[in-house]
Amino acid sequence: MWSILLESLDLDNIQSFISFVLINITVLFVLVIEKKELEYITMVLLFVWSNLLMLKSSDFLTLYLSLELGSFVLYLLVSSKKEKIESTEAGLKYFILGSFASMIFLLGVVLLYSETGTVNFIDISLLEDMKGIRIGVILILVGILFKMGAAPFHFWVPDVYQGSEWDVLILLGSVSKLGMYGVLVNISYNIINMEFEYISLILFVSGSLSIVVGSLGAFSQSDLKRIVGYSGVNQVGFILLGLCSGTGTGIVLSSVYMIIYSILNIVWIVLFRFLKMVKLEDVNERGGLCMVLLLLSLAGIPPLGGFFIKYNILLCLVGVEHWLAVMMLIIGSMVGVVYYLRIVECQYLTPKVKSGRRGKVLGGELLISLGHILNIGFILAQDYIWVFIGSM
Amino acid sequence: LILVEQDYELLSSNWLEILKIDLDLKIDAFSYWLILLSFLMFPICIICSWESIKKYVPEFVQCLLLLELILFLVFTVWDILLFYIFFEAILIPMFLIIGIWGGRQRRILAAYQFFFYTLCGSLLMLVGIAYIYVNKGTTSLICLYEIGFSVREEKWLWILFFIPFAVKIPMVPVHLWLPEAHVEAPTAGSVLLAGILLKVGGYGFYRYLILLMPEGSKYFGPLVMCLALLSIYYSSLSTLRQIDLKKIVAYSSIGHMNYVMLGLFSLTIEGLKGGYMMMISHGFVSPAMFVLIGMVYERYHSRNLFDYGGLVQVMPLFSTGMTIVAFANMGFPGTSSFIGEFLILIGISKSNLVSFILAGLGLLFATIYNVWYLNRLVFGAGKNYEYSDLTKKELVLILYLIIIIISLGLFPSLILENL
Repeated sequence: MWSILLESLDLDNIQSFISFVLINITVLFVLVIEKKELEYITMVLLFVWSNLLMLKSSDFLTLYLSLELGSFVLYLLVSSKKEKIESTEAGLKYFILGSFASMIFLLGVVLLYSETGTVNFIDISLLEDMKGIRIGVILILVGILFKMGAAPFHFWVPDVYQGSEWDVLILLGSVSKLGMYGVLVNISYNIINMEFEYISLILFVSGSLSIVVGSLGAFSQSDLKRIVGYSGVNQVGFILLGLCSGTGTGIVLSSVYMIIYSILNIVWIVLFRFLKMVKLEDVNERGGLCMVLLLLSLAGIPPLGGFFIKYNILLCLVGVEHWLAVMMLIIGSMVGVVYYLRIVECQYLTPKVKSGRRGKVLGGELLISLGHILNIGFILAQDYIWVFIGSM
Repeated sequence: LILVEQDYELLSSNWLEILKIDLDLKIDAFSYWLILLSFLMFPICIICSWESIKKYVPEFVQCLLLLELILFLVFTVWDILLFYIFFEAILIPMFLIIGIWGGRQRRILAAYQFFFYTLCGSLLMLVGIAYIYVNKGTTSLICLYEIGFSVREEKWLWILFFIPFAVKIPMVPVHLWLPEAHVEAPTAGSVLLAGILLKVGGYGFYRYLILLMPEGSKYFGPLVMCLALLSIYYSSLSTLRQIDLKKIVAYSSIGHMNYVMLGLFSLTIEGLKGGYMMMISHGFVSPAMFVLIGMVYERYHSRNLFDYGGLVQVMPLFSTGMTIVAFANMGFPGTSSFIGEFLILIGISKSNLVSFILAGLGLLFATIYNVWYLNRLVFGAGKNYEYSDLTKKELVLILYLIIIIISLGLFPSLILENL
């Protein structure tokens, strides 16, 4: 039934499909949001709208404008917790660093314009010789990687995540990354189609660094929001490795990864918010085995959804015989498991001080159960997502 | 046993069409007794932790039942990727069992060690699986038996597949997780680890290395023999220096499982049958030892060998059971281990004479350490004066295992006739 429904929609390319997922995630998000004030909801919707614009834009100037619109809303949202000083700090940090990245992006667009005299996507993709626009493209990619939170442009991630509310983390971690991913695919595969080697190199370096930084950075953290942030950096690394393979399958598999990861991310964040956990010490057995499975899924332990997406990336890297990337992926998934297991350890393995009576264990709560069903169901669902994206 | 006359197909369906995975469940003669072993072991686990497990009881039973399902699937799937998935999935319940219900604070370290040794090994196997899928277009075992690999491919793939199973068996450079995990795990966890989880490694060696990559196995056979002999001597000598009762059994398990490896990699039919017999036999003997050790631990709260002595005066039934099981552990005629060891020695003598002599001498150590700790524990001057023999429940539990051990020793054809 679902496949018929999906086929009846006119989703002709990957951007459209990601927009479709984005809208669905937004619906999910508005359902779980805590602050139901008018301004807040307006800003959230504005942010999602800017992401949709970004995916549908057809020249670099529109892209830049919609990106900035989204960023401004996000600056406000990050600093929306007025009574907390961390929130203000996070907002300011994000504002300064984010506008710096936007500036670099704009500089890239300017260089590109000065070299070719156009900013239109189609015109640029028709260029015969793309050697002249290399630096411009690299600067543009830097801007995008910054917004995605990929290393080595990840320094804002832990601080900004720590200062924001859980709800905003959903926007930062899932919605914003989905939009940026769509743009990245569009630029690196559709527009700059001539010289993929050096784009591939950039994606590979950034992806490997993200995997290393994301997993090593989260080791010594005790704040759950920072761990969520570093986990995001780590997962983006896997997506970038999938993209650097440079094949059609690579795009499809990375998209599957991105979509499934963003939903797992939402479930994770909502779970922490629901159980009112802030620090690592707050984690207790109320999460139940449900939370253990979710964490192990994010860590990529079979037979959960998180394993299959990592296996897909591995398949496409082995397919193009990019052995260095395969090595990074294997090392990354070994090391990355540690900090997810640390949360499990705090949940069950170390005895709590007041372990006399047990709190209510998480069980039938609607959204978390839903997420959990999805988590298990991705084993089957990825089949459909894959078929669907592959048929475009 | 009509069941295992031919490959018995349980279920076959197209599951993941994209990855071309068929959920193909089959039982053949090799997996038949392993499945039976795992099903016979879970009641023991639940009964022997009836009193000792006090916290998170529902979660404990959930973990055990989850593990049972996963083990059944590990032994029945005929697809490399699915095998990998269930092989790894064992980690989830086992990590929790060691980590939550283990004894001391060190259990967390043990749980992590168990998790990471296995994970690091098996991720290499995952690369091998991805290579097979990309180049051969399928991960189904039946198709791969038909297609085969070139010799060069086989050598690389053999190494990638060897490491996870060597960790699981375990062989010497990568065996450190096993004593830790055994000592820290609750009795049920040790029973499962020694009883079945080590056999998953042996099963993998047979099904995925010897049958799937015969050329590679022939090429690397001497390496495996060498490592196995090293492990046997190393673990036997280590056993003699242990004072922790559970560590003694853990190190002797390493020795026995490496005899299995010698048998399998002698690549003769006797060696194969002996290795299989030894696996099943060890799967009953070492859980019996852990159950017995769990029983004395519950009474005296110590696993230190020097805290015990003269148990025969206060626990006669226990001592009888312990003696029978210790004799079974050293491979005494009439118990199931004897058949296994005998067949393994015949197998090796056909393929490699030096290994045969070394393996035969290695058996001597098994006798030495078994007599040594049996003497310390059961006989000698009495140190524990309170009379507290086995309860009826414990007696039934241990009789159940001893009856199986002895009957398999007297009628080995139960296992060997269909192999």
